[in-house]
Amino acid sequence: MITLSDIQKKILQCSQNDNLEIIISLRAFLLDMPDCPYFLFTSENYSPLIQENQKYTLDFYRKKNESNIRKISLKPIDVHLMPKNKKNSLIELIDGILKNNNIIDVLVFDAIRSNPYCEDELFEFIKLNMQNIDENIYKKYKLRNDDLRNIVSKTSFSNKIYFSTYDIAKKNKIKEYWKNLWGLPEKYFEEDVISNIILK
Amino acid sequence: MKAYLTFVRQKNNQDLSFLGIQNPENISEALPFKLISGQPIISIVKDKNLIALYLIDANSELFQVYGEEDFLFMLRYLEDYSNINLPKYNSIKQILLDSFSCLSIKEFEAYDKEMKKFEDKIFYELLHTDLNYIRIQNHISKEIKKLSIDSIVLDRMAHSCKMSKQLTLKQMRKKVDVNLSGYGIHINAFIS
Repeated sequence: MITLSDIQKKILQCSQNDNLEIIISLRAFLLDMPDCPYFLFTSENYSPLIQENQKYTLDFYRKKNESNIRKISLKPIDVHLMPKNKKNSLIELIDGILKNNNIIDVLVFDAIRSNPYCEDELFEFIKLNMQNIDENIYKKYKLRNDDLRNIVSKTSFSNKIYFSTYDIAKKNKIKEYWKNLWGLPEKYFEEDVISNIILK
Repeated sequence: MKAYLTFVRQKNNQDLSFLGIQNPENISEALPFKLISGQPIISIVKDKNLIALYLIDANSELFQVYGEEDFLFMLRYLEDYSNINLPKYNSIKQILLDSFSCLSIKEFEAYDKEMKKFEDKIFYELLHTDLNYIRIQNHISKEIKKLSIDSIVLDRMAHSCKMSKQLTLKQMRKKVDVNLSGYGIHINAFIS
């Protein structure tokens, strides 16, 4: 059985060996978002990376993250079953490492793509850096953000503390619906209706 | 004074009990919080009386809804009485999730009240019993057939219920997550 200190050691080893990708993947699993795309903006020209990353399916990210954590002998199920307090202490450790490596401000998780109940971090980043981002990309992510607000407002779960199994199943259904809408790469390359009209 | 992590069992917001522990004499104090069967809670009991109640949200955070002080700061151990019913709790949850998964978003809205009542009934009837996975699944399947909803939806749900796969041992033993960071309290899970 792998203990908490074993995992902490592995995380620190990855940090020393500059294997930050493994740590980022582990963070995705710890936050229960194994198919979460992420963007590490190392150059000021952000558009090519966004365009590149949106080409991939959520399944691609899941497999990538899974293969990364397997490199440190962790299985997805073990991370999933880990108690919350252990998960929290590992997330804290990882975030500290990312901060020390000065990448916390240029690392953006696009959790929204698979879960409409998360924060739209990528759109916030795009808004902040509009001068370095292609206008079409801004428009696309603005459209996604509008859709997001729409779906969340229509399927609100009045300020509940405890979610019944029925509520969770309903949330899962909405997530599936959202994934079919904005989880697929095709959606990010579709021309919008107005462009089609202009082209014709 | 003792702190317990347990599951709620209730019927029609009247017949309320906390599984695994002796019910506090003033348990009716918890009625206004509309607890539902199968819901994990933390109760603090002193001299057979409930003095504090904490609800646990989806992110495992605690919400104190009853009690004048945050008594968790004063205790060293949280007695985990949810352990006894964990395999059943996780199994029922999984079978229900699979059964509900065949509903459309519109159907979720339409059958909201009916299904929540159904879920409450299932946890009320099964969580304290000694049934294994197959018998739990059969019981839920029978109860689905009694629902007064569209027959097509009902057949779909019954089919999804039957298709639900048994959890692995690890999954069955997945504990109720409680974020106790900030407190000096430890969970005592060695209770049989």
